[in-house]
Amino acid sequence: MEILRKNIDQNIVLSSDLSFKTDLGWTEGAEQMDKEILYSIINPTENYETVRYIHYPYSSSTINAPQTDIWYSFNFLTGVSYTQNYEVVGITLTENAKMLRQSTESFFRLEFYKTANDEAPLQTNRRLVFTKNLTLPLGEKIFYTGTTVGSTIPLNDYIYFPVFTGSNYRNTENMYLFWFADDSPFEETNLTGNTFYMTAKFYNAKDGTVTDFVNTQLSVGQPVIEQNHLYYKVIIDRSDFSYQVFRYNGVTVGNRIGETNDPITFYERRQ
Amino acid sequence: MKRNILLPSKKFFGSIEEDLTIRVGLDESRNILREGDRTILLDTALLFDKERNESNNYKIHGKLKMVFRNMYSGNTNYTPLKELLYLVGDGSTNDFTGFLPYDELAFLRKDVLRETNQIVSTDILNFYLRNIVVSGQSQHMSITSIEAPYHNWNIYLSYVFSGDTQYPMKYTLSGGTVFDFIASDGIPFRVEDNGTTYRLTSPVEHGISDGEFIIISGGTLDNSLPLSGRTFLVTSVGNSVYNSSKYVLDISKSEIPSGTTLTTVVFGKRCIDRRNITGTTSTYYVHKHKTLTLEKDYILDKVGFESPIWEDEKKILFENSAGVNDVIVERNRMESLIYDFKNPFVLTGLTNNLGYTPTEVYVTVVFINGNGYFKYPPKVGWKFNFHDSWIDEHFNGTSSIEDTIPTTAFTRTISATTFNFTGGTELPMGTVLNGAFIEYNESELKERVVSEAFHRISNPANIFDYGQTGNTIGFSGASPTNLFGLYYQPHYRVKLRELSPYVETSTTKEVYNLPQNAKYSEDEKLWKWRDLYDHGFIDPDGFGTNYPFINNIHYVKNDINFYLRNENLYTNKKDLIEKVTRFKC
Repeated sequence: MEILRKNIDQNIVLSSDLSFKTDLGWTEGAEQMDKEILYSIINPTENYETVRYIHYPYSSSTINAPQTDIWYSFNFLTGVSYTQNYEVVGITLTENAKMLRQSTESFFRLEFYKTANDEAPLQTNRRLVFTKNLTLPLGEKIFYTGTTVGSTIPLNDYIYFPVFTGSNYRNTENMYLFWFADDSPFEETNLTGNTFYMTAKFYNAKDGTVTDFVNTQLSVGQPVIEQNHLYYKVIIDRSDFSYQVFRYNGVTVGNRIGETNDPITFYERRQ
Repeated sequence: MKRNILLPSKKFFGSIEEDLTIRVGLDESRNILREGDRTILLDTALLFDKERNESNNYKIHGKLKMVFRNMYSGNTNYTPLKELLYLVGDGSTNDFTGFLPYDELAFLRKDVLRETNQIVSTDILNFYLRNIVVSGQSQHMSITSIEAPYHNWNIYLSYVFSGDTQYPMKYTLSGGTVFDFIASDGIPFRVEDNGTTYRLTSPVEHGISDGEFIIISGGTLDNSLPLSGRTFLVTSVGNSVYNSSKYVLDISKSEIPSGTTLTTVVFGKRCIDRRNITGTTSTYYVHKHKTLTLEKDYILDKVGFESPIWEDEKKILFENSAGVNDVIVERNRMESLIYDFKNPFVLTGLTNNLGYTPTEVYVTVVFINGNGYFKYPPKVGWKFNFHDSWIDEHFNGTSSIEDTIPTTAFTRTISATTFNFTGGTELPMGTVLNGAFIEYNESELKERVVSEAFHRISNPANIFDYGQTGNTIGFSGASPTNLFGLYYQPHYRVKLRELSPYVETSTTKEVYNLPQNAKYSEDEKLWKWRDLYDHGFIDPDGFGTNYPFINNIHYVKNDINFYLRNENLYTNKKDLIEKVTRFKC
């Protein structure tokens, strides 16, 4: 500051809170930084609300109207072929029909994984995000008129099969997936996106074993390639909160499945 | 820069105390570089409060309970409907008079077309044998389980964007005497000569207190007279009947100029101060709503562990009109449902009819008539258009039709007879609907609901005839152009923010600091407004909002008891005054 000499008295008024603003522009930047730091480390407002995703309607071949029921079908190994009879995993027809604990406590577990940037899933890169349990009594049943082992008297009772259906009409849980409404909880990870990989296991309450399943019938001796044979691909749609399940071979995404005439089929993995 | 420090406790009446920090920089004039760490005081409660009050996201959900008894029994020649009627008898006498199946009025239809897997008898165990069959109705229309919650009714969010003072209305007395008026005329009052006073009785709450004034139009007190010549002191309210102070008021005959004649019904407006008629007289108008969501923007599901106390009514017929034996028919199903808008509503960019961001939105329930069994669109009326024993002429003809609701026409031909149907379709975003009849007084800055709006629906007689075109026992005045039927309230208020019950005033010239709802009173030379309460603040009188706040969303629970009423049988409409003779304990 320069003071020009004049022949009259001059005053310099210094206010106690006078600021020459030598740091002009810094304050706003610092305040902005404050806000950003606060936002990122203290109680960031992210949307952790989980919402319900419904199985997307598909054309039914039976009726001229869209249907939404989802179908799962599991097959156990018996020798070199497959069966849907729980007897091969040790649960007898009587235990099945009478709903003894061996059967009510056994369940299939659908495991849903996410991978970074939707890469093909491997045990090394997948993250288990949620599971769904399908207990044996949730399955479909038939009225069995045959006999049991060691008896000549017809059983004449209901027998459960490892076939499951989910329906929004009956409000069955198998119908729905529950997941976050948006990806804000995963913003700083690479686990965002709408894709999941689904595989299945069977937890046997009779003998405590856990059985793995694959997505295709493998021939005897054919090696299991994890990303090709273990998973189905599940894609959710956040615009209408629906989901669809597709065949998946580790590289390409196949047809949609889970429909009445094309259930999501799992086969017991050969050892 | 000049800064005013507003004590938190002075923010609005009753607001809480909180610590304020003022940073005084003693070294600011000489520091070129900011040295050291910045200090930020963290208080999670304050931070939460800040985030909560800055958030405009609202998730609206709640229970929806149908309260209804299906009371109209009639006949139809339309065989797909005839086969499903809940017959008065059991079908064995060839009399197929019956009630509409409940599914025609249900929020969640059960008669959906779907695949079902029937259990088979077999001795094969290796593979599961499925037996897929088709169940549900498809004769009149195929409704899938996905469409079921949207076929009869639709639920939308709406807000009030305007008020219509010119909306034409009618008020009908028994015997069919009709009085036409427009919304801005005010509330209808029946006039009774009471000796030294005129007694005015309104069919809705008049909202006028003892000592206030009423501006009357009717008879010789018409618009040709100045307002001051039609403004009279309310000398008393009520007539000794319980609650009648809300409906009855007296004015002194001595105030009324000689030669004045009053009609049987006059229309009255509330005035607070006779010396300032224009500034203190209420205006009356009909809310105009705009829809904010689309048809599929909500989920409707059964409540898991609740059912209403009323009885489900269903039975097995011996035989229906198609000759099928042992048919289950259903007259009533007491639905208890949960609705949930899929996405949060973001309260931004909207202006209500009073010129500020809305403090409330509405859950709007519209009968959509997917099957076309009812005349469509519905007609809209208000509380004073429903009477115990006669039908109101307001509904006669087409003038009261809610004609902004889109429709679709279709036909069905049965045995060479063609039946015409008109159903509704999805309301586009921004559809305008009529809402409540409102009184607004500018000196109080407050709206009062005179009457909620009601939609009335009825069946065309050629589709389902229950005597709706003429007089029935205890109910008169119906005609082919004015059918009695069912009515319901379409708009349910959801409070998002709370305005203070008191009015703040200021003479400030700094208009940029005034709240959005401030209005300048020319008479009082004052700015007036109501404070906007913070979320989480409840004043001692219970006003305020305190919704759960998480995920940056306010979760607003709004339960609705949905009354669907039979117009000719629901007899609690008369002025809402019940003469209490004795109490039963």
